[in-house]
Amino acid sequence: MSAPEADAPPSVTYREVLELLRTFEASGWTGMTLDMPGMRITAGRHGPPSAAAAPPAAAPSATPAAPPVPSASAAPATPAAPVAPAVASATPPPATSPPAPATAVDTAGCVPVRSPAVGSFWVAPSPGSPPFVEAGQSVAEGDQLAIVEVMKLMNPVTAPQAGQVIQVCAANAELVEYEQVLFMIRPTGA
Amino acid sequence: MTARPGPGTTGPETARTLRRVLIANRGEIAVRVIRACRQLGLETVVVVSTADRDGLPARLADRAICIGPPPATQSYLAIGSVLSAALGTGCDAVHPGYGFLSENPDFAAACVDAGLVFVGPSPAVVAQAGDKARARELAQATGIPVLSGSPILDSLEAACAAAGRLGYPVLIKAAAGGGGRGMSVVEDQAGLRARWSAAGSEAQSAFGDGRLYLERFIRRARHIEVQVLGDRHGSVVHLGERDCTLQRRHQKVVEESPAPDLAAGTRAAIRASGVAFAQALGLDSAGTVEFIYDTDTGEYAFLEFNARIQVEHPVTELVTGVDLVASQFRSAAGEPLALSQPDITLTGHAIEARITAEDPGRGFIPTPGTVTTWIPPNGPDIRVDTSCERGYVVSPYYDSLLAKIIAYGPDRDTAADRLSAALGQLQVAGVPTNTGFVRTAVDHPDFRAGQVSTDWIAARGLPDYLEKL
Repeated sequence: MSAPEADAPPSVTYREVLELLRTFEASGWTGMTLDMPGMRITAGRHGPPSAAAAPPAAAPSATPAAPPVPSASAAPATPAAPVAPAVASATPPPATSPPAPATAVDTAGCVPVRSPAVGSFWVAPSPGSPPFVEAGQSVAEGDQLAIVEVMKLMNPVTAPQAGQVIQVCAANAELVEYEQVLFMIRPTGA
Repeated sequence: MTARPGPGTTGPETARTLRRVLIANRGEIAVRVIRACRQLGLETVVVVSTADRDGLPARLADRAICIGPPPATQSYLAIGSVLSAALGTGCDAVHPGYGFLSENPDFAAACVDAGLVFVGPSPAVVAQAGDKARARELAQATGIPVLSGSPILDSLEAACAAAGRLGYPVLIKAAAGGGGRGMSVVEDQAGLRARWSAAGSEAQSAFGDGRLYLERFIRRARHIEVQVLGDRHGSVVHLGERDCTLQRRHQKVVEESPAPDLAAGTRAAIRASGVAFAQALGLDSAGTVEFIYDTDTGEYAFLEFNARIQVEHPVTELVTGVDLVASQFRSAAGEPLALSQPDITLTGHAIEARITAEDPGRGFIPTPGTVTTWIPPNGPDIRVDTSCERGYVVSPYYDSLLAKIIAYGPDRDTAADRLSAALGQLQVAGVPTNTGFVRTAVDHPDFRAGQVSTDWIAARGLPDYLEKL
């Protein structure tokens, strides 16, 4: 297993990711992107740094990212591609916390839409397609919001009732757990 | 951990570097595997159902992933969900524990297909061993004594005909079975007719395979099993035998190693049969060859093979000093066995008691509830494998095992005395347990004399205990 990356340093461990994030937190930086074999870590002090404005603030490893993890605009991978390690979910405690929103969103009166399964979270029906929904959009009951892919089985995530999507709580291509909150919807009239 | 290239290493496929392990199980065995991983420097991800989110395994592992609701078919038995969790968290190996998916050949194959190391035998071995009828044919072909039985039977009529040839009483067994489920004794044709379809349904729901076969039933039997260990380079050793004769409804209650009161020649023959079977199977991990021993004739016969870690593995670990779970990881990583047969000696005696949330006074009915007091025993010769703690919820979805209490001693009597004392120390409240009953059994003159058979609890142990209550 280690043969293909014989010259590259071994992939980082979960504990090392935590250590990197702690170091970042203690620094004065506003954002950083780290490319390592098989993994890219992007962190921002005030929310996710925009992809365009992400010159690596810290790059201990100068090797190009290979293979890149699905970016924010990605959609279901080709069937042959294995699910990449879910970097965003390395935030402890992983079992309960969705990634912190960029800014505080008022979710008062909202209903959570939870994941029907453990799997990969996809916001769009196919690579390159626009997402099913975006924050701020209104949806009708039963509208498809996302896909949770379990071993190539595509499970639709649908709106439990009509309303406005207030928040998308998981990142595209991330591993989501069973019952993890994926969307917050403010029901119509609420 | 990195595999050391051994003399038999044939290519890159045989050596894998393991870093992060998904534990596809719950309860005490999940805790046990996490402990082995820590000692080996492996990171751990444990899958949990919503019922186990706050349990000890979830807190001990580096990460816990919720994969589904409490029913096992939608969580611990859901192959796609377990694999998604493994791949999504960057694991490179999967340890299945016992039960659940541990002996499911489709799961073992799916792991390998997904590029994951299955910490158990290779899928072909799992498939061959998991089919009880095929395993028996293999034993027969290897020259190991086999209990007379039928092939797979596809109808009640075929079963009645086969039972007529075998002679009653007969045992109905699930082809994909284990752990006593889907297994029942019937005394005559009426009993067979009454039990047949329920046994099939139980097997179907427990293993996803409703096929059944029959076996001759031995009245005064002991259950003796040989722990075997193989590597991916063709070596197989045994680590002695265990005696698991004390059972209720075909579920083991007390296990020990070595087996008491066995003629030296018989003991050697049983061990040799275990190794011969494992070699014929091509076993490349830990496994257990189960035998039935007829106390009236002194004969033994092959029962089945389990291609996984056993619940009762600690007694073997205590008398051999070999960490079986760590050995599974080493074999899975392609390392050659660190021990050869002459290196393995059994020293002293170990006895394990399974503490379950079951009420002996009510036919060992598993009783869900919340554990409000939990004070386990301790001491230099006591090992407790458990995931129980105060606040632990015994749920109706899973087995009722609370803990395994294992005592070691230089000889059998000392080990039994220590186990009895440890059982006396154990304090549990909130759910009924079998502790008092197990202690009575361990102290019973029949057990101390090694004069018990698999029906002893039902015929003697339980009635004696209930009478004294």
